[in-house]
Amino acid sequence: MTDNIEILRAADLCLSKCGRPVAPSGMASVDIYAGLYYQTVVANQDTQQQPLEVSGETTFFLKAISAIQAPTLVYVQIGFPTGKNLQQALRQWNQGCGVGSNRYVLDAQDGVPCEPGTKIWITGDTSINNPGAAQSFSVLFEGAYRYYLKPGSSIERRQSPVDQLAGFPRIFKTANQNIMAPRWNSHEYPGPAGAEWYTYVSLSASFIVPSGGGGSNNKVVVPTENGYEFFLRRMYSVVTFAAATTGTPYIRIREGSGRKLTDDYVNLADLSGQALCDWWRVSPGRDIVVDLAVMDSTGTGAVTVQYFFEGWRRRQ
Amino acid sequence: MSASLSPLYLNQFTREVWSDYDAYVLAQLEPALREGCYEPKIYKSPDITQEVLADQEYIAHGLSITPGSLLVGYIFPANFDLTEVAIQITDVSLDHKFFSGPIPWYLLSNGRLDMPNLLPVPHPVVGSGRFMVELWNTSGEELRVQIRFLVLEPRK
Repeated sequence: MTDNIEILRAADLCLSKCGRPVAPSGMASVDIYAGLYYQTVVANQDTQQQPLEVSGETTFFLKAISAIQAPTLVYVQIGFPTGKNLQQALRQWNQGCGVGSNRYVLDAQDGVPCEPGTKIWITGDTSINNPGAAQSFSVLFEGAYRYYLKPGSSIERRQSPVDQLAGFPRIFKTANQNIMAPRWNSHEYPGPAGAEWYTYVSLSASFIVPSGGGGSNNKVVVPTENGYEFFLRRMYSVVTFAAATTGTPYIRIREGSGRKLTDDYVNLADLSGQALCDWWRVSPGRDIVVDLAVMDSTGTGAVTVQYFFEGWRRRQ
Repeated sequence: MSASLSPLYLNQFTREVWSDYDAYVLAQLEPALREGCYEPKIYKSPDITQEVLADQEYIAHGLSITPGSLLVGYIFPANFDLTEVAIQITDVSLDHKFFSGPIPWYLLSNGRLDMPNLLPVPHPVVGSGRFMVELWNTSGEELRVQIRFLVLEPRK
């Protein structure tokens, strides 16, 4: 942070004409991610209500709920510090919980404000369904602590989503002539001008697996083409072990210049097929280099790998 | 490059509709993507020499991420067998723990094909860019553990 940024304290608030404390004009804020974790066990044929105290030094804005479901059925109700409930009655918990993309989204823009010291109330009930055994479940209340900042020249003001959307490129001539329609609805994903969807493929390469531990620097070069810049969306792979040979392949991906996509060796099975959040640009004429290490290997046969790099390419 | 379009929008299950979690998070990221100031990078933890955890073993790993980056999420396809590893992440510069207590790392996974587990708000990497990643193996057996962070790093 620069010295022009200061955290806003309660004493910095000033009084409005009506006598209410208000923040000074030009104020900005920064959100710092946090998750409040709750886990419990509800006895069979029982109802319990427990508080989860909101800790921290500033207001926590609850934005999403990740959760692990109970072994069978438990009914849950969640009450927020605002006095409102997540739903109007106890509800089967397995209907409302998920992780990752299947999180439960709350107020998408700002979240539910939870001031320090207030409580989230979680009610668990096994008397409705009578599962026959105690039920455990876990909840991660996810959101952000919001730190308000005093006005300063270095602060970029927080833009509302409406203001952000105003800066987006307009897409006309869509199938339904509706510029407000979701992009998937018009089947039009604007790629870069003059670009084509392309997949660079490595040759199939075989390496002998060491019998004790992993090998390293088993390098495969995926050549791109001179005159084309490439924007990677994701990589995927095909891996085959010879008979009586096993292991866990790890890879490290870098551009020919040495610029890394991964800071170290990562598990290939978990990386393969995963899209990136932004395009990884490969400069014209630079190859993509993949190093392979096989962890926890057994046997002395070979592992055969082939890599695919999918994205846009554009002639420069 | 049409940088306002994240590659994640091309996921066949991502829909910009109300209550879809990914659409909500991606909308927050779009201004950063549109400026073209960042490029993706994947960090892993712990160190490769620390990955094998005996039953009930605890390790702490110091992870260094380029200051000025945005921590966007985790690349962690769901594996329903791996619920018994607990994790805590601490931003050392801010002295800020991500979670109020260690959580099952299953909560950082994502069962949706090709999608990372995105944070509700991107976390700014400031100061020294150092993070401490703590892992507890409570599975009852030896495990190899690895968590991958998806980061937007300032373009050089």
